[in-house]
Amino acid sequence: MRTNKILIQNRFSLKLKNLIGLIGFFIIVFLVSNPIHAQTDLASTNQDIMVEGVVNDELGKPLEANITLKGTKVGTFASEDGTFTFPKELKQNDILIFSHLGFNTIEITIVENSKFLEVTMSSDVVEMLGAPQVDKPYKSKSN
Amino acid sequence: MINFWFLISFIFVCPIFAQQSDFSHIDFSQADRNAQSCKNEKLNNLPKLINKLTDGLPTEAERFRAIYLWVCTNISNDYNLYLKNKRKRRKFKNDSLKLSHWNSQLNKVIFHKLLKNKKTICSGYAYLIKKLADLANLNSEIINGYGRTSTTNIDELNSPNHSWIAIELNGKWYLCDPTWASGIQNASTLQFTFQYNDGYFLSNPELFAVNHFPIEKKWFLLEGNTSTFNDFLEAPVIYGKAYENLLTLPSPKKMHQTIAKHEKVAIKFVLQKPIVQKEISLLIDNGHKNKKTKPTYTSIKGHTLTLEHQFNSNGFYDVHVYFGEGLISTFTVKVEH
Repeated sequence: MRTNKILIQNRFSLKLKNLIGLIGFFIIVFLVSNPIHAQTDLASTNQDIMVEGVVNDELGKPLEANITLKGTKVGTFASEDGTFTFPKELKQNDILIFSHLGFNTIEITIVENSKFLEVTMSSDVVEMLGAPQVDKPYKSKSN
Repeated sequence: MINFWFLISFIFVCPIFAQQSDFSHIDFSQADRNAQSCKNEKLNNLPKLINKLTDGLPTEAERFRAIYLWVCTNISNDYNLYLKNKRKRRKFKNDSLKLSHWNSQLNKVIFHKLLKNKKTICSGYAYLIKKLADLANLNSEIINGYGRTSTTNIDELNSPNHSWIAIELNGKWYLCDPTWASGIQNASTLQFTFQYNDGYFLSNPELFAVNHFPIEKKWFLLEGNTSTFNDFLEAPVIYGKAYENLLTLPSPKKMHQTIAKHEKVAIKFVLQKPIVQKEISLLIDNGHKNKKTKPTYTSIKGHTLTLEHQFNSNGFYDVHVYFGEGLISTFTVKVEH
C-alpha cells in the first residue's frame, strides 16, 4: 500500500518535472526568439529608405512634378527627364505627395520596397468656361 | 448713432446666409500680407507657394483668403482664349464628341498658359484655387453655370459660360467669384486691368444669384425656392460695385419695367454699409441723350435704401443707379400713355 503510494508520488513528480522542463523550454525559446523577432520588426519600420524614381504623364512623357513629404516642407522636384532622388531618407508609412499644375495630385505611401518609384500622373480634366467681368454700362438695343 | 442702429439692424438681417460677415471677427491683414509677399512666385512649385501663402495663418478662413487673394491679384484674364473657346463651344454645341475633344485640347493649352504666363479664363481661376486649396487641406468645388454681365447677350445664353468656386470653411459652404474679383476686361482694346473687388469674396448667396446661375441647384446655397432660369435671365443687371455695397436687391426683380406716364418706379436695396443720401444718383438714358439726376424720393432706414423715380415723358429709358462714381445696377423703363 505504502509502496504504491511512493510509486504514484514518484510518477507524479516525474510528470511535474517533465512539465516544468517543457515550460522552461518554451520560456527559453520565447526569450531567445522574441528579441530577434522584435529586432527584425524594429529594423523594418525604422529602416531609412533612400527613395528615387521617375514621374511620367499618362503618355509616358517625363513630368517635372513637385514631390513633398506629407506634413513637412521637405521636398524636391523631378528633373527634365522625370527622374528624382528624394533629399531625405524616408521610413515606412511616410507619404509622398506628387503635384503638378494640370495633373491629378497623387499620394504614395512608402513601403519596404519603395526604393524606386515609377509614378504616372494623369491629366486633370476641367470643363473650360469663361465670362470675363466688364464695367461697361448696359446699353439697350432699342436705344 | 446712425451707424450704431445700422449695425443693430444689420445683425438681425445678416446671419441667414453664409457670407463674409461670418468672419468679421477675423483680421485678414496677415493673410493679405502673405499673398502680397508671394507676388513673384511661379506656379511650377505649388507646395512651396502654398507653404509661403499659408505660413503663420491659424484659421481655415485666413489660409483660404491668402490663396484666393494671390490668385485674384496674380492671374490675368486671357481674352483671346476666351473668345476662341466661346466660338468653338458654340460651333460644337450639338456635337458632344467634338466638344469633348476641343475641351481636352483646350485643357492642355490653358494649363500651359497658366504655368508660363499666369493667364487664364474663368475655369482656370477656379481650377487653380481648388488645386491650391487641396494642397492646404481645404475642401472646395469648381461650380459651373451661367454668369451675366452688362454685355452678356441673353438671347445667346443657352449653354453654361462661367465658372466660380465654392469653399467649405468651418463646415459651412461659401461662394466666391475669382474671375470677376480679379479685374476688368476691356473688350475693345483686349486689355485686362487688375482691379481687385473684395465683394466677390464669400459673397451673400442671395446677391450672387442675381447674376450667377449654377447648373446644380444646390450650389445656390439658398434655402427654399431658388430662382428659375427665366428669373435669372429677366433680372436687372448688377455690376462689381453692387458686390461692394449691397447685401441683396429686393426690387426691381425684373430688368424691364413698364409704367404709365407720371407713375413711379421703385428700387429697394439692402445695404452692406451706410451710405450718404447725396451720393445716390440715377443716370437716365433715352437712347439719344443721358441725364444724371437725383431720384424723386430717397429713404434710408437702417440697412434698407428705398428709391422712387417718376417719369413724366413717354419713351424707353435705361436707368443706371450710381453710388458716387460707382455703377451699381441697371434696369429699363418703358413709359406709356
